[in-house]
Amino acid sequence: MTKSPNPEIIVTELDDELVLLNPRTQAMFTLNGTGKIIWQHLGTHTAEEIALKITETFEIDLATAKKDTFDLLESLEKSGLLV
Amino acid sequence: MTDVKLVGMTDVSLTEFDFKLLGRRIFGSASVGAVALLQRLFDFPSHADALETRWTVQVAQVQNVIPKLENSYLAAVHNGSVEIANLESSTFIKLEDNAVQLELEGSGAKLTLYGSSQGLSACLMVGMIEAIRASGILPMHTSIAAKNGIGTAFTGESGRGKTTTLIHSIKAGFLPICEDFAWLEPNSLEVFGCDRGLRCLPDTLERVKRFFPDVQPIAFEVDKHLVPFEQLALRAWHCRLERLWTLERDLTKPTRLEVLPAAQCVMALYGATGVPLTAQTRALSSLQMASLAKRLEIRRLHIGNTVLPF
Repeated sequence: MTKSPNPEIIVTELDDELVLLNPRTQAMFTLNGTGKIIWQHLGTHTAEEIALKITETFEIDLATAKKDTFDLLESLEKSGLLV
Repeated sequence: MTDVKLVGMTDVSLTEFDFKLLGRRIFGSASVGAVALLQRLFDFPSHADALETRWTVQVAQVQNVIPKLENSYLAAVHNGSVEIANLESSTFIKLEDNAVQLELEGSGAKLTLYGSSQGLSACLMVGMIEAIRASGILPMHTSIAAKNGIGTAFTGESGRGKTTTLIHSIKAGFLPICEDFAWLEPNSLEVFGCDRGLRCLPDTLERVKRFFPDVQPIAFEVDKHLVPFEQLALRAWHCRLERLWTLERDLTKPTRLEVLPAAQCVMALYGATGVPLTAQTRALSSLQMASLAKRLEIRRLHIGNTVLPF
């Protein structure tokens, strides 16, 4: 299972992206459509399961989806957006 | 207003107060200094009943010891930073030996003030803004000018030109709504200014005098002057906000307006309204920002070496 979204993060949902605001650092992040799917399944799915969901939504192969997922998870973790 | 002295509080003389801001009743008792701050920042008779709500903000001052705060963080405010700690049912805003405890209930907020030295002012200002934000309206740290009842907000970090852009807009026939702070009703987009004029440091005052040579500024602090809006144009206290321009300076290029992607519009909105501090206001704000990003015309104004687009 992946880590969960940090409950302190302020999430603003736009049509096809998310804006994340960390109130502690006041840093803001944007997630595109792929990132939005990853964020919405954090804490309830494994990285592999999330990658599979990405392939169901976007025309992208599983290997690329897995790499995107792991890369974003690492970036989210480093930015204090996961717990 | 009544002066009272509470049993056991031999050192702090409390003053009772009771006024309204945009329908929100703000009342309680606090030190003379705290009440003066509340009245200066939040008591605008022209706005008292401009909106309808049953929201109340009750303020009480105590001499209790501030509880130990864990997992706190520093939040930037106007002239520095305050310590924020979210406890189970309340939020503490602390600076030095002063703190404000904010508790949100169904139809109101309660602010408990700890301490009475200068640091309390910053805590009280932040606490009040959060207490009122929780009622559904949004604080806006912007200058705003209006023409034909339609407002444009100018936002950006300190020194980016909020006041200067406001001065240019007034000279171009806009009416001043505020120089620094306003409240936005996010459903109707009605915005209410909360400044009595331009607060000018010497360099700003010189710029004002270049455009409006007849102004008679009022000295109010060391090196600071107030130029009442009435000396510059007809006073307009509120308008419908339709545009928000976030300001950047680059004097090597022509002035231009840039359309922003939706995510950057949200960022500009948070820049203008500040970061909400409580779980309740965070949930509310994220919905408000998504809606406002679609309904407001949000642009980046690159202030360059050509005239402003008024």
